[in-house]
Amino acid sequence: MKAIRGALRGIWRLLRELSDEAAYERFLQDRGASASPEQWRHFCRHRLGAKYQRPKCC
Amino acid sequence: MKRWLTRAAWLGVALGGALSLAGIALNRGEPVNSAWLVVAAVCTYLTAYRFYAKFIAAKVMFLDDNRATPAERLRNGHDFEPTNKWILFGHHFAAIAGPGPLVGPTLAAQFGYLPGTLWIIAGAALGGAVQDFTILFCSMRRDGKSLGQMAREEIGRLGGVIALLTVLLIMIILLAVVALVVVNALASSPWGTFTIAATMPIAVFMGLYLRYWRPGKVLEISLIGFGLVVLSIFGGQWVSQSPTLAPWFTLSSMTLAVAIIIYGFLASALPVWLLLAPRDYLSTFVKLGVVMLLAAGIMAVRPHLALPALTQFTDGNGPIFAGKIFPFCFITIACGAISGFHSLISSGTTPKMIAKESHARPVGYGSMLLEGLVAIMAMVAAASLHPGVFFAVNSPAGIVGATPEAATATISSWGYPVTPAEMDNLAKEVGEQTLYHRTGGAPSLALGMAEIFARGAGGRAILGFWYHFAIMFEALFILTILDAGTRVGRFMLQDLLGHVWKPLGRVSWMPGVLFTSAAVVAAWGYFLVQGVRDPLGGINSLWPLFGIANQLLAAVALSVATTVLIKMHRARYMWITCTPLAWLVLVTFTGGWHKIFSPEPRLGFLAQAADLSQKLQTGALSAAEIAQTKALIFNARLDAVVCGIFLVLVGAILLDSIRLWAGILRGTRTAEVKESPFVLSRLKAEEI
Repeated sequence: MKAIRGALRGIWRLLRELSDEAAYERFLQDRGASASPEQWRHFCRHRLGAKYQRPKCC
Repeated sequence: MKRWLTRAAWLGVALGGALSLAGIALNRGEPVNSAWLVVAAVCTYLTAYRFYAKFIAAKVMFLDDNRATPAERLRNGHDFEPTNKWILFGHHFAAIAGPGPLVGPTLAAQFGYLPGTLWIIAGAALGGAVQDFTILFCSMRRDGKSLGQMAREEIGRLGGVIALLTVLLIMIILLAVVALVVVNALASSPWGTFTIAATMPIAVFMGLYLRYWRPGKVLEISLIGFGLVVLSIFGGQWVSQSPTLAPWFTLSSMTLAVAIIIYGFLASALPVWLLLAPRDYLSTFVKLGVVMLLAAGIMAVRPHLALPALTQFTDGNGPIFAGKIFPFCFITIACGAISGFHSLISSGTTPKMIAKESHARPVGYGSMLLEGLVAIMAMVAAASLHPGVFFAVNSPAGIVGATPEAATATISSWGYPVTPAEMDNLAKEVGEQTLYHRTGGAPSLALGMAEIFARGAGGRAILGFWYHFAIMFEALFILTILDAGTRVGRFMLQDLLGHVWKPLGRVSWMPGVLFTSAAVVAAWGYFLVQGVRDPLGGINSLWPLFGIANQLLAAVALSVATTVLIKMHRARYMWITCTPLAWLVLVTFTGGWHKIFSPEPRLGFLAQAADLSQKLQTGALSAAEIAQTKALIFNARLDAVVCGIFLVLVGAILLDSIRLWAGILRGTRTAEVKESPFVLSRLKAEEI
């Protein structure tokens, strides 16, 4: 049961990392800010700008 | 006692792999179950991971968990962030998994299931995973530098410029070929076209939702987006049955190509948050979900392989693409065994997220093995199809004949009986008008996947849903590669043109953005249109060109890795990177030579141009045919030039590397390692 819970927690963390939600949370923590449309736009400008300057794999 | 038990377990795994490999290689005349392929791959990969990768980590790289990684030293919460190794494993796998390992093995199945399977197993363990692992290691020790930066610093200025140019050229060919795969899958298919068209407004809705309604709730909107995409599959069925709407979505290959070119331009020029990013989130989750679903389906259904182990097409006369088993099986499989593109990921995001050096083994080596397993699953899906159906779907009209009667008669004469009635029934079952001449691999892979899914859940009554679900999955992430790739190409071009005229280099200057987006789209769009017009289906020319380019990029990456090993005074272990490098050089240069100079018109670009010129001189062609033939001649010569450029560029970087290696080994050149200095790690286990 503990192993299943651990695996599910791992999957949840992976999904949050893939969706950039974890990165957004770190971004807010670093700035000491709370979630808001402005903060999200600011995060997107940095995060997505850098992300889509790199090639995607074939 | 425990030690002996462990040894016995590993001996069992190794023996299991060896016996499965022997079973699939030596079994003749009776059906082989696909489970043997999966067991052979899993056991071989486990053994390779446990022994070979561990040997490389311990004896060659000296991975040291006391050494702080860039993620720890340069931690900024964005790019540099120590990440749990299994989360990073999933992240890296999601980044490297593209359409290549799915399409390549499907096309290579024309030689039978055996050659491709053996190469995927051996190539991934000894080549692809080694490349990914060593490049990840090199980048991790250099603050996450890119392949181009490392080539410039470790080999020389020429190496850096060549790496950049090679990436740009490969990207253009890659985007053209993946776009062609989508065009061939959707041509004259209102169901598929509607479903894929619907993903665009869905992505825009997701972008607006994230921007204005629920900022930051990516998982929430991705789930809603997935629900909408599944609904659009049902919508596509309804559209395909509507006499009013079906003609709107029944598009020719050329119309689809133009639509995709326009889409690529818009996606490159529009803000990323509106279309590209939400589509990418959706595509990543769908991709991981479907790969897991396929794995579960294969293990539950365990289909028998219908294709023979070897077909007569090993002699080079295959209908899907021309060329003998050596070197074209290896070039065609491409990403399923070794992918040069992975070196860009291994030297991009991932090294900046590694918490401890030892994590490079599961992330770098392990992820590639998982990709090899995906390629094996694609091979199983393709090889479990009836061979007659497989060849009818994948063979161009120019080879088997344009009518159903002619196509089935030609394919049956090869020893793979199939009738027009069988093909019609199958097309009806999956909700398509026809399944003939759908070159590119995607439709036959979707058929194989649909058969497996349908046997696992729902039966043949919902074969059409599963087929279009698989097409949606393939097209969704191919189009994501297309829009992201166009955007990256635009940045690269802006970077280059900025040296000529400064405003063109500014990413915020709209005329510059529009001009460079149009230039990149025009470049891959040209090759796409060339593929659509090609009477041999386009894949025959473009996929080998892409395969050669991709494998040549892997050769560049392995040259960089070998240089680093020599500079680290590990020359005695340089065989680890030199063996796959030598193989790649042999395969790609032989393949490139054949593609340019083979006297066989279906294989050699120059022979094809000469053959068409001869036809032109007979004077028996109409005015329209003359114009088309002239265009085909130009395209064949252009392909020969592009292939030649690839070979010259990589030949130059290889010679430059060998000169450097010889100098270091003879003691005439200094071996200056460009690693970041050692800093003691203070990262605690609970922090990751």
